Amino acid sequence: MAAPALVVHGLKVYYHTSRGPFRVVDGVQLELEQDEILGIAGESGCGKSTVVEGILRLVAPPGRIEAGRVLLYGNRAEAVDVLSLAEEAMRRIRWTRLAYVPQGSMNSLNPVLRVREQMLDAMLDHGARSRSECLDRIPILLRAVGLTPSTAEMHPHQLSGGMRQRVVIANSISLNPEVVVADEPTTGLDVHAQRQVLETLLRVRREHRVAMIFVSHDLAVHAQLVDRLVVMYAGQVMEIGPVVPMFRDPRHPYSLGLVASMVRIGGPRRRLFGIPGLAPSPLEWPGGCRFHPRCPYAFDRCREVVPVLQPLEPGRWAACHLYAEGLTDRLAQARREMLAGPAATGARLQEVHAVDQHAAGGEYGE
Amino acid sequence: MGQGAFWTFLLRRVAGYLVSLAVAITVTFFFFHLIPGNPIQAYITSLQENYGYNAPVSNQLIIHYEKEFGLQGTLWHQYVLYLRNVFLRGNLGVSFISFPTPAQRLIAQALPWTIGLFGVAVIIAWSIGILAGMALGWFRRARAAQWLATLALIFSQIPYYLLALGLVFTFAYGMAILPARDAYSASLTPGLSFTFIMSVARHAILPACSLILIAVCGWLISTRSLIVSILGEDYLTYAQAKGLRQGRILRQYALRNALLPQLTALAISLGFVVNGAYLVEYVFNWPGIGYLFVSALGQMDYNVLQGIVLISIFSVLTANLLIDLTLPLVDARVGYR
Repeated sequence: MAAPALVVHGLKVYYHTSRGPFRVVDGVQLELEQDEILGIAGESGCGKSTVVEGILRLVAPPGRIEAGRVLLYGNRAEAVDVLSLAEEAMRRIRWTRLAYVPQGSMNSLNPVLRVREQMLDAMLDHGARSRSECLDRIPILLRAVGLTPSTAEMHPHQLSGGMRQRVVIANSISLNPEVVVADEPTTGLDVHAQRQVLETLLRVRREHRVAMIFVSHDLAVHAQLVDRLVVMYAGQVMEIGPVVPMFRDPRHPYSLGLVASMVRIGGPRRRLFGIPGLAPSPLEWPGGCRFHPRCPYAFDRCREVVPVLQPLEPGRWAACHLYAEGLTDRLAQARREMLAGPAATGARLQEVHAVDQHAAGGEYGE
Repeated sequence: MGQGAFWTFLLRRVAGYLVSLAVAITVTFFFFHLIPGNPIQAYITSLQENYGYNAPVSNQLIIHYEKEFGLQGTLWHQYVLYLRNVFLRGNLGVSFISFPTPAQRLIAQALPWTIGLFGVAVIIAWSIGILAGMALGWFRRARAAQWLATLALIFSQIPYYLLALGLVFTFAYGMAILPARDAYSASLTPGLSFTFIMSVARHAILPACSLILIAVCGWLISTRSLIVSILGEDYLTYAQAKGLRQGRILRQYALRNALLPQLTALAISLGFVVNGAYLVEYVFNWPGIGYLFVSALGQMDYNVLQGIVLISIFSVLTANLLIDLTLPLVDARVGYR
């Protein structure tokens, strides 16, 4: 793969309150490659949605982007830094190159305008086409997400959550953006609607060749959709890697905890594990590794030195001192125990993989 | 929604409207007639004071006026008589204070003055308030906008008659640049001449200002808070993410959503216009409904009082009915249910 589609460097987003700054996103790096879907996972409050706001420059006071660069390459060789653009230049990049899919079951659509008007306005304000060309495009976009063209005449309150979500997806690709950032697009939907939305996203990725960042707290959803996964904890990235190997063999103790706490249907029965302790406050992150108070493998160094993301093998990164110190035996042991009997491991992951294949090929298969 | 649903809706609303009207007429009739005091005695006293009428009050005279005023028989009998006059003859009865002028003529003379002054004042205040509130909401983080909003909040709590008195002292007596009383110069005869209209306009400035200045602050505050809460909505963030032009976001996303409740509120305010503002009309000697009401109250002029209340209730109820019927056309979320 040539240049990445989007690179985030040292992104910091703080919320300034009377009690001091909440360091919600505190030095996040990630790279989105061409045509891939990059997942961001983590508990509530880990900063994953704020990363999205940072990338899209939608942070509202008292939040502020403190530092970092968001380099948008798209399909060009030259990057623009989204965070340093002037307002008008930023406005022109929005939607034409960098689009957003919010959680559409929320109030993302203007209640007083018809769907048609809310699709039309973005196209018109970016001046790409004439009004009639834009109007002609709306039925095509709606069909692309599996909605009937008559949806355009509806008001948001007449649509179900799943339909609203697909309207929002259709809208995001109206100007053929190079990067789409989706924040919890399946959250709040029933499983059937979730499935439709996931299939729609896969279809959009395939047919429109967009690179996508997909945020969800739901690992099962990530398993079905994303190519690579970023695991965040306490405003920082803990682990990055391709999703199937990561689920089979999580490297960071936190990722291991997440994967071991997942409910899986089918396969042998196994114990579910939780992660002990509570998520820390962004007002006062623990020193050293932020996960150390909850980590069963923590040792002295973890309390003092902040671990950096380091490559473990091609494509897999983790921010954990265990690897530098060669102390991974206990972790590997725990991994084997927590992810159930050795015989079952392969089968379960094949199942995860099969779901992925099904969602990708499934109903819209060529 | 089918055609049937609309007609059921219409029928229900109109029926409710008529029932409210009937109840209102009944309540006002009994309310005024049960106030202690004798209108005939009051009328004769005023004759004695004003015209030097000194003849002893005979029973015959009282019976004569009871007949003229429609005060014969039991209260129930009077009520039936009143209803018949109002609905069958469109007759509100004779006025006691300017006997024998019919009450409806007095009201009809006063109504244009009140509607002219208050209707225009409400519309001006609403328009300015919406625009200013929108601006203060949009620039809510600017220091100046926050100060102005606080100022408006304080201003909106001033009683309008206090402001009216302040304006009279400053501009009519202190600087002597504007008239303090009446609706036009006494030397002019009412008509559609340019001088007369200019005179009315000059006389209307102070009463209108005392109403507008305070009402603007009220509209401003409510619009601002509507806009501020809308700016926090997800669909505003989404509009921003779409890279829409700021003007479009302001008009079609912020203002359109804020305008719906404000249009309803405007219609209700316009319904109340007919009530006038008694104190402002009294302070400025403005020949409107409020002034008439206060004069009629002094003499227990039942027919005029009932007529005024009837017209006020009628206009408020009509405004509400119109809102119910038109809101679904403006806001798709409201149906004919």
